[in-house]
Amino acid sequence: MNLRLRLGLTTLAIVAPLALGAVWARRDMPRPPAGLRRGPPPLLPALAVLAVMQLALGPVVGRIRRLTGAVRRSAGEGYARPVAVEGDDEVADLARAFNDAADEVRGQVARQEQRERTLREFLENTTHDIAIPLTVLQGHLAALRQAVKRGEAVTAEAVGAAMDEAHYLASLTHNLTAAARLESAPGLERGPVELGGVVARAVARHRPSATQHGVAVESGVPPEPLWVDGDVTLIEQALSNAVHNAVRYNREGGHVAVLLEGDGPGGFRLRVIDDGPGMSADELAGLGRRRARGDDARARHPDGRGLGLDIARRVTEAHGWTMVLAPSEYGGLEVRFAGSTPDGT
Amino acid sequence: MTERILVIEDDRALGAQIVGHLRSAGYEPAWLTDGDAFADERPADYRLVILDLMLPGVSGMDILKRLRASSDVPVLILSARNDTPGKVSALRLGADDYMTKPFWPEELLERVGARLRRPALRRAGAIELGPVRVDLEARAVSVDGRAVELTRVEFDLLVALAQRPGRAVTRRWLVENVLDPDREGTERTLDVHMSRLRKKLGACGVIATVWGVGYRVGAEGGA
Repeated sequence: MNLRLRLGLTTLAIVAPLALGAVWARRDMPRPPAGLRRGPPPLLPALAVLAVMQLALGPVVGRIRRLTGAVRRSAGEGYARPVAVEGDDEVADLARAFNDAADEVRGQVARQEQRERTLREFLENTTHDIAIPLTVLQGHLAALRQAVKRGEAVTAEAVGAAMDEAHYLASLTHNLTAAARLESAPGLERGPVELGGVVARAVARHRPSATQHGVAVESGVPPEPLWVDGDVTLIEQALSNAVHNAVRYNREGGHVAVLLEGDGPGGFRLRVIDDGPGMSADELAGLGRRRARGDDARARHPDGRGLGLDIARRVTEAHGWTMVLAPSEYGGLEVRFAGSTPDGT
Repeated sequence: MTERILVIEDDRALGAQIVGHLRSAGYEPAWLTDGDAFADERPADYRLVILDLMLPGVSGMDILKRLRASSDVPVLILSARNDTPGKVSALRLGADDYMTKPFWPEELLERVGARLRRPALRRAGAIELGPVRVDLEARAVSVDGRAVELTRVEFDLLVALAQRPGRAVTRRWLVENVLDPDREGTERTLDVHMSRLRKKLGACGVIATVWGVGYRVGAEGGA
């Protein structure tokens, strides 16, 4: 039933009983004195009201019909075009509300499409990123097998090269997981994190690889636990990346130190320092810039530092902390994380 | 005495590797490949439990709950999933440490060693570090039974290190917590004090310089 008919019937339903009531009441009234005429039958004003209402509602109903058509057309085009807003009344409010809803729908669809694009690119890039070190690892293993077949001695260097790739693969896998977490909402899974334990785990993770390269990894943490509020997996990954870089780009006989210290009341400072070859000012500036998007973080530095340090930066930013790269006092690189502790420990 | 370690890991290749590495390191491992078999074990028989979270039968989390209901044996969690909720849940349920796969065998052994390490020998207010004995109450130090005269700062420095044997203590912490900040609060001054302290302790070499960090007494990784 259309709006005009519904309104007409509603008006009739209200006016008709009133009019009939009035007619019934007139029946018992005394006849007017001679010379005076009885007034017009009460049904006539009721019909007049009905006609006026129909005339008044006509344009409104027409606008609602036009709006309905426009909404249907807009929906058919994926809400790409807003509907026209006529006037400044409730119908116009309805049109504006529809446009707001269409904006929201367009935004949601765009975000969904972006997520799908990101996921697709992520999977493609992951396959690519993992395929390379895996291929190198297979190459090392094939060379080792051939050496054994020929009766040649397997050198520590050859095994070490294969182990390097395996270590890099493990690190890459953790980083890709971290990148996916950072891309997703809500991202952080916050809780109390004891940073001394994080240091111990990050150092333990990289010490076997460091020992193989002749690089010593040391750490120093305060005697009292130092708690922060954060995502333990991501924080550990951020620190692990800094330690991994410090080991990987060091030299035989080199050193890496991880130092956790309180920094005034309610603050902490976590530093990874090394005495490796360090980085030039240009390289530091390049690594210091935040990538525009997560995907770009994968455009790795030729020697592979880009992804790990970019993830470390994004993790620190997500926690409201800072990460600074600077030359270390020992000639290598210093990666300095700083932030606050929730209760001033 | 050989330390007994219970390994609960369903993957046969990984479980065999873990058991092999533990045995090579001098431990005595026992290995369960599913959670149900844990019901027959007595936690008190072990010094450490290495527990995989994803197991057939009873889950690793359920085993952890059961363990904690009756035992304080240290539990090291192994997890293939590098996710925060899993780690947080395990730690809340009483796990002492966790490791995410993949890991190197050396890393596992280091973490096992850290959990099993016994505290430094302390007897009635004294700390013994090989030939060095630090009497905390009498504020006296001896090396191989021979008394060594130390200044107040030197003694306090030695105690600060001796209370955390095997752990490197940062220069900054020592400066801020041991040296008098009004008179001698610089890392340079600290190094001078440490140099004198080492000379007085003689050739025992109990104090090691730790690159980039500070100083340590005792073997690395001690409790």
